[in-house]
Amino acid sequence: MSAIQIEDVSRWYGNVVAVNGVTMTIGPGVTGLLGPNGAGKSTLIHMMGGFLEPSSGGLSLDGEPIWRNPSVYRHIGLVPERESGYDFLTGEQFIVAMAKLHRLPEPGAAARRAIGRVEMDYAADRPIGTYSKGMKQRIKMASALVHDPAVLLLDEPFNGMDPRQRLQLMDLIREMAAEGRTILFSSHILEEVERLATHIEVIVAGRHAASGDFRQIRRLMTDRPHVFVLRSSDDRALAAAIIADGSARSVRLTDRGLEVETTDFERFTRLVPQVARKAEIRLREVSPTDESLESVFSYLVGK
Amino acid sequence: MSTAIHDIGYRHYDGPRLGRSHVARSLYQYNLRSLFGLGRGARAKFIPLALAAFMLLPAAGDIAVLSFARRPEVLIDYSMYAIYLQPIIAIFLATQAPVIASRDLRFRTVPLYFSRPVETTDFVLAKFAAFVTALLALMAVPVTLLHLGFLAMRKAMIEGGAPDVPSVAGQTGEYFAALAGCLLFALVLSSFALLIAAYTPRRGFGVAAVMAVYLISNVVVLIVQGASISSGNYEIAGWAGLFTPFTLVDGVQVRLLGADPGVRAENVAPAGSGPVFLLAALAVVGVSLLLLMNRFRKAGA
Repeated sequence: MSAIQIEDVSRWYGNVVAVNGVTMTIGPGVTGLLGPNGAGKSTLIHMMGGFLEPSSGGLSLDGEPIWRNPSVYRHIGLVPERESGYDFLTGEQFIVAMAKLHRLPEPGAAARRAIGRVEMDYAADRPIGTYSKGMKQRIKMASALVHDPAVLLLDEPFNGMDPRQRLQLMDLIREMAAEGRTILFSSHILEEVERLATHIEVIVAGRHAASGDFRQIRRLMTDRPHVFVLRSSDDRALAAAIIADGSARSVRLTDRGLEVETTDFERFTRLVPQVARKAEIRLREVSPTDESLESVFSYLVGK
Repeated sequence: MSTAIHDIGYRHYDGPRLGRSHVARSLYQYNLRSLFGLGRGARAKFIPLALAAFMLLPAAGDIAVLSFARRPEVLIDYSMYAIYLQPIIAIFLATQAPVIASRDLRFRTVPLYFSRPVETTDFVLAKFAAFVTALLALMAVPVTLLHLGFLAMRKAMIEGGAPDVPSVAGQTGEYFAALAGCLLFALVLSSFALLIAAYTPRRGFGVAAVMAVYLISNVVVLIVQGASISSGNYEIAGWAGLFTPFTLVDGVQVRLLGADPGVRAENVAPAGSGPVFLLAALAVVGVSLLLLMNRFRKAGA
């Protein structure tokens, strides 16, 4: 069980600040690093992998500093976003080379294991240049797995994959998380993050905007009223009852039901059944409409 | 693990901001500094500063000779200075254009800029303005030095009995015309070099590409000019000048800014071609800037 600690880390290139005073801990399980283009996700991942020196602050793996500390790299596997590789090598040659660079005792066996893990055995003898995008992504994954690291950092792993490859990779990531590894993957595609990670870290323009479970993050945004859609046996009477109770900010009658805006999520969800019961109205549906990761994200990113 | 929203990342800053002009100014300053390697290691400073020194050397030498010879014909024609020293300027273009045009592309930092309050136009114009400033300084400082040397030596030349010493007003007019020429040189050369560098982001390739375009256009134009001059067709030789950056701007110097065609070779721009040369020069600048914006806008998405 390993964790990466990021302590007040900033990184700037020339006069643009890519990462701005970020503090977070990435623990075992799957963490999604979420942010729009140019938020600083790749910069942060490269610093976690020891490829980039933070301009200020420090990163450590289980208390050991990461920058210029090769012994730590034995426990970290990084899958970069860039595809430029050694196109003239076969998949197997590439992974064996990586195993040798790690000075593994049995590079051949380790390479075969890693290739098997990503299900690339069938194409291991072909030059990487002939691979499809998804295959390249998987062989990069094998190169990061060859030394069996406790921490796996994936920069935009689903880019350019077809749906089937996407599902395969999701399974693989889940599997490895179940083994107790610490896995961080970055993405700007919400659907992937929603399906894979319960814990998310959101960065926006270099700043750490939020962390945790996205539904809980949504609750914390008390300045953003929650919107519910209610359908019941008598919408009008329910509207009157809710307004009278005072737990809602506004109620609108629409053709898809009753649209209620409330600032206090907890109080409202407790009160609705009671109010309905008192007024003898049957509730058919109560659904929050902006509890998706998408709306949470748009609130975090929105200007 | 706990759930949190961080106020400083989530809640947006509504206070006063330094604004667009400040952004543009800092980018300009940063680019100008990196062109001369300021704020970077000694290796980044060596080439630009050595080239700047080489640019000054002939002017300083000329002043020294002038102070002994005391004859006005020793003074280098101001408008010819950039042309005599074009190899040095070309090396500056080739080595320094990639510094500000390729790095952001190579290290993919462009999206970082554009996800902050920076506009593509400002981003590109700041690079352009910085390069123009650097080139202008490179060319205008030695020309200024020449002119100061002339002003200081003029009395001594007249007392020494040198014939045809130009008047202060006349020579100062030439000086300002040469400065205008330098500015046009800077505009055309910057836009063209930045554009090439922005399309060759790989390390080393930008340098080679800028140099190649400069040399090849020169060679091709020289061949065309040589062929047409040997067949007596001076008109075509002059027009061919449109196709290399230096002769393009020189055509404007000769035909619109009153530079002396007598000190130039036979392939000078033909009489009356001034407006065409000026329009062509401005078109190079305009088109290059448009393409540059396009390049960075795409890289930032």
